[in-house]
Amino acid sequence: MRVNPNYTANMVDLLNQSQQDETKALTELSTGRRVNNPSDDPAAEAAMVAENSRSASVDQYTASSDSLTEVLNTADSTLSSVVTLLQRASTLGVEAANSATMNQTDLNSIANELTGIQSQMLSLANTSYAGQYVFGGTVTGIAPYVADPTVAGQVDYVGNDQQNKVQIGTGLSVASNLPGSSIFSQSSGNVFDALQSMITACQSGNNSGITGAVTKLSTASDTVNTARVFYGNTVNELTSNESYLSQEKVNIASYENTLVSCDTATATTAVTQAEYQRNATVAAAAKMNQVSLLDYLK
Amino acid sequence: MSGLTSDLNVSVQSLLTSTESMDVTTTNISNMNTPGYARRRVVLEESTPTGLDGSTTGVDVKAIQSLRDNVLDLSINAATSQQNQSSTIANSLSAAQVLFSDNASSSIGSTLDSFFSSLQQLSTSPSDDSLRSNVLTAASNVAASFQSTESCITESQQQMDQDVVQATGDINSLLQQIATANGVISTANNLGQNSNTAEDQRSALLTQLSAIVGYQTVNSSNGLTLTTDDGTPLVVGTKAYSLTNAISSSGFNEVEAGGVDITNTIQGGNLGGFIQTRDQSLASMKTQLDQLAFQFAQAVNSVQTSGSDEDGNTGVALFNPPDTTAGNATGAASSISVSLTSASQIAAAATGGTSGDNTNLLKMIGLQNQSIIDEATPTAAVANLTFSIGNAISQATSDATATGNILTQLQNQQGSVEGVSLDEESSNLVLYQRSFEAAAKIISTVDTLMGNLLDMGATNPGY
Amino acid sequence: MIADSSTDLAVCRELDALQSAISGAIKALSDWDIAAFESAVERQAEICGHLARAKNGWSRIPYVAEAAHKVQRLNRVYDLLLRHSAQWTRNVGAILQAGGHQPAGSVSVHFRA
Repeated sequence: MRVNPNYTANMVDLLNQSQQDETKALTELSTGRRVNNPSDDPAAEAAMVAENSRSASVDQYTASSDSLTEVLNTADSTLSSVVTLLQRASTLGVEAANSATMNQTDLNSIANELTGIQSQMLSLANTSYAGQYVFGGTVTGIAPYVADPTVAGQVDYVGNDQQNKVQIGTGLSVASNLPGSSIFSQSSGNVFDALQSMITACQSGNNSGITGAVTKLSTASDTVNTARVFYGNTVNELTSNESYLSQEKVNIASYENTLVSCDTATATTAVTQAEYQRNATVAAAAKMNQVSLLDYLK
Repeated sequence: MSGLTSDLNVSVQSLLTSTESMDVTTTNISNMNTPGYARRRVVLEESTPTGLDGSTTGVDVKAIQSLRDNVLDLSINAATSQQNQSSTIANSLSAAQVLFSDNASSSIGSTLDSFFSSLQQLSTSPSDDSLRSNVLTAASNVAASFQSTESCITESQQQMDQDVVQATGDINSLLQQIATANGVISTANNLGQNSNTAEDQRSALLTQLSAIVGYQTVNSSNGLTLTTDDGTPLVVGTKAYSLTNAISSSGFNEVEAGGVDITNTIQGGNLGGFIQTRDQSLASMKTQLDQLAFQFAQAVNSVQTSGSDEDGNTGVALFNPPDTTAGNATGAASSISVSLTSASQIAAAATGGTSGDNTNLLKMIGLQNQSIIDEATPTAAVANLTFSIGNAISQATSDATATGNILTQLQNQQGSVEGVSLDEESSNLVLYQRSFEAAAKIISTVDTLMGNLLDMGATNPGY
Repeated sequence: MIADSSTDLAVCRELDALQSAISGAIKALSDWDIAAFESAVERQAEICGHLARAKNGWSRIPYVAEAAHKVQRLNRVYDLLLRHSAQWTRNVGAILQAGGHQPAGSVSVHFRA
């Protein structure tokens, strides 16, 4: 059985193969990825599509959480100011109720300050963040608290009692707002009513009216403070969730690494081996070309 | 004692014969790289006696035989067909697969992810105009991605289509040449002459043809008959049956034999690869892509129309896929576009809800995890497409490599049978030269001796 | 040992044998059978050896002359054939060398002018 005298074709094939191996390994080293095309590892690529999607979701949950945190904090600090105002109004009310020391002039003066407080309160209740009213439920385009032009001190709520939910994780949502109706209103009326009743009582020197108003303010204050719990809790949940999301990002990135990343050591070795293979092939080809039977017949 | 005349006849005849033998060796050496060339050797036969005394004129060259292994050649051609088809498929799909790489930021997977992210962001503040605007931008990016992916697939198909026409032309040319070679071989054989060169040429042509398309061969009385795999004649004797192309309802060229469409029966070779890529792989991808675009758009639109937009109106379709009523997804990927003219038309709220309500948005976001594309989520559908194309290429590449290895082995076998060995031919040369050196000396000696013998007074009868 | 009358006979026999050997060489060359060629050449060498030793015993016998002539003429045809073969060998050698193949150990064949 003769050996194929046309060994050149085999040599060329071997050279091509080692050339391809080297190119592949070099590509991996420069891109940092073992898998650069779907055909390199179809299953890994398909998994990457899913992981990239997960990763994008996690990024978005983080972004949503950040946005929410800002608006919730804004709302909460607004309510903090509301509480301060209510406390001030309460203090004034207690003063005004002390008929022993108060005369009508004093009461009028208190009534004035309370009017000022009332208008500040209205402004706070109509706080907006990024152009959207914060305390209107899902009515965010118009100010939720409207002063009745005909009835002094009457403020009507024109928002709704809806809460939006926002997703912050897989199967995890938080309410993103608290409607004003849960904050500034009670069954007996809203905080503006309470302030107005005190103003009216002061203006008319109605001591028992003042005392009654102090109680109403106290109830309103409690309602606001209770409402603030929502914001505190929600922000806490968002914060602790963010650290979970960070961990998720790390996990995903780590998994993606195992799917498609180039192991530098392996790729470097592959380049070295391919070069070695190529040199050996070229040397062998050169040798085979030189040596022939005739040399041995000298 | 043999007569001089007889010896002279032997010499003359031998001169002719040995010239042929030497020619054969020279031919072998100078043709060692000629495709299709098979090593030849001289088969000698003692001449039929012509003399009354039973003497012969020596030897006749009976045949110059080509050492060819026909079965091996057939195997090589079959392997060549297969390998070429696989390589062609792998190469042809390479351009399209880039679109599906997870690295590509404009891939369908990426744009879909961004679209859902934009919806999520909007859900934190549904009346925010810039966030609404972002959603429309993200939606048109999705549409653009579908369109450019489809466009790339179509371009690849069109390239394949051109290649089909080119290949058909190449095949026809080869069929003509094979038919001609059949004629030369047939004529020579009928005259009792050898047809080695024509057979070498035909062998080379057959290999070239196998690289382009698969076929069957049958040895028949009028030479080598070629047919397609399903029996349609290509070459019968000296007649070549050309193939033709005609544009079919698909808008692509079909291959016809005698006016009959044989496109689906063509296997093997580059042509087999072009057809498979164009009509199977790429066509299938386009169908899946259309399905994805259609069902995605339909699902989003369905949520849109079940909510209220910023102005309190019932939502209208966000995307423009064609003909939703007919339910036909064909062409969806190439024509999908954003239908809304204003971001305020995004129906974030539930029906009758206020502009700050995000209930409907949450439903739209929920589509990301619903099996809206033939029982797969949008992401899963994209992952499947990615896997499909990657796998098709990977498989074709493996096939090409595997058949390549078989081909190399077969070619090695062929080479050992048919290949000209310079070493063998050269070693013979050395031997000849040494013998000739010795023989020349003897000739000299004989000449001298005869000269002496005659000079010594033997009667010179003269020439 | 070769005697007078038997010398002539012997010479004739040798000459016939020589003719036969030359014919054999020609046939072997046409067969491209180097082994047969070489043994034919060897036979010729041997016969030449005999003839050379028997030189002194040659006499002027017509059929010896005839035999010698035949050999001479055949030798010349054979010479032609061999030159042709040698020429071809050189050509092929040149082809191989041109192709980068070095046929080592090649010798040049000399002919008497």
